Amino acid sequence: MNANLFYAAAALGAVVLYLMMERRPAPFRAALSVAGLSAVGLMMTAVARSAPSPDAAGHPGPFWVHVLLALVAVASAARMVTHPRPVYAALYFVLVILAVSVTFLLLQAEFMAFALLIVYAGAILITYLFVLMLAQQSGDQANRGEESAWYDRTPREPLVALALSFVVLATTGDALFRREGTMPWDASPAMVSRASARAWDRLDDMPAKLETVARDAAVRAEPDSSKHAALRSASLVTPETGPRLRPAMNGAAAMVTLRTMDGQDVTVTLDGDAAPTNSEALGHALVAEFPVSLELAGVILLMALFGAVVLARRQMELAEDERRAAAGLPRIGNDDALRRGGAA
Amino acid sequence: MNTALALLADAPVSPAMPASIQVTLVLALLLFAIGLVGFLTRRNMILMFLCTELMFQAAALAFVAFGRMWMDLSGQLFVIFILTVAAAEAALALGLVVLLYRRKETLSNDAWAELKE
Repeated sequence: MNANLFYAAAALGAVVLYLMMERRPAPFRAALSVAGLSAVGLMMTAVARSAPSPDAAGHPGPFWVHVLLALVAVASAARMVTHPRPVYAALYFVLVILAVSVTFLLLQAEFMAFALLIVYAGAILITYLFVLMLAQQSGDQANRGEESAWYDRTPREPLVALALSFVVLATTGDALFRREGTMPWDASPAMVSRASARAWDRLDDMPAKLETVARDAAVRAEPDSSKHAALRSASLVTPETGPRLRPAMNGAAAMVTLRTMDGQDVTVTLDGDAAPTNSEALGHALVAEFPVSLELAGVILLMALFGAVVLARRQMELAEDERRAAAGLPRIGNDDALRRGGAA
Repeated sequence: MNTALALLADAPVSPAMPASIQVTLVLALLLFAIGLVGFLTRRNMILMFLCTELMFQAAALAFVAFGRMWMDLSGQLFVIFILTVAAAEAALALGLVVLLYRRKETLSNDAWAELKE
């Protein structure tokens, strides 16, 4: 039932997207946006109702923020692929990026949210806008007085494209409604404590941070303020066997032992706030667990750099420079002469 | 949320609501589908590449959502990879587009239909 509602809403969205591709009068456009947004809302409703434990009532905040962000992202994405002016399309893409990065924040991926903003909205989109504006300057529409070129106003094969992506959407969306598979949509306590144990392992790998948070926790737990100075200079105790941090209470907390200057051992209990933050954990995972992927990313960037240099290089024929010199033209390598000669 | 999980509310990693994960996955699906429509219907070469960036975004969103569901960081590490590839792709593709634009003074990809042969 929910799945059928999902497909019907997707079909409605496809029709709206088709109608958006041509230029329409203003009231028609308003009706289109209402229809499109309600189609997306219907899809969200269908999926949320099929969630195993629809506990949205218990946490009204994040869920509705998710839906709102999804509406913003889908609306600006639809406008982006249909807008007749390329620069506006690029600006709508910035709106998509903003919505996606706030969604990342809600999903507790803080580092990725800001990396997305900086790399995409800050760097990649600026490159796109530069190239768009370079190409628009003397574009084909400038001499014809149109607001955008013909190829930006006329979609290519819209019906085939919409049918194809409807099929893609329907086949992949089907997975969201299947329950007999092995997808554990609802986190089990075992999964949470496993993930928590991983987080404590990470903290154990960072001795400097572990010592700082252990000292802070020890000071907070000690009511007698005359002992605080001794606790602040206490150092970590590394046991003969096993890790320094021992998870307790099914992973919700962890114990660590500190030794003060006068040889006194203090056992401190750390709560979830002491665990590594998202960026710390991500950095640790990147270097300690997946170092090859880090190296590969570097190789990809280096190859892109080489490719860009090859593309930007001036194409020269064999011995072109010598022939230019013989004909009295400035040599290519000589920039000053080139600029004076006006050749480029 | 069941009681066993409520006990773990202070744990370093807390579980996500299934409903918000699913809404995020639907968002990823929709962005991918819209990006596909844009890639197929747009004639402007720069905007075609911009639509592939939209599909990259959808993939990144799905990675992060699944990573949140499993409470694992690997999803986010893949997004770092996606960012790298997207940056490299943008630099190279735009360089190519500028070269093509210098030859024919148009951004329409119909101008390069002879490459089919």
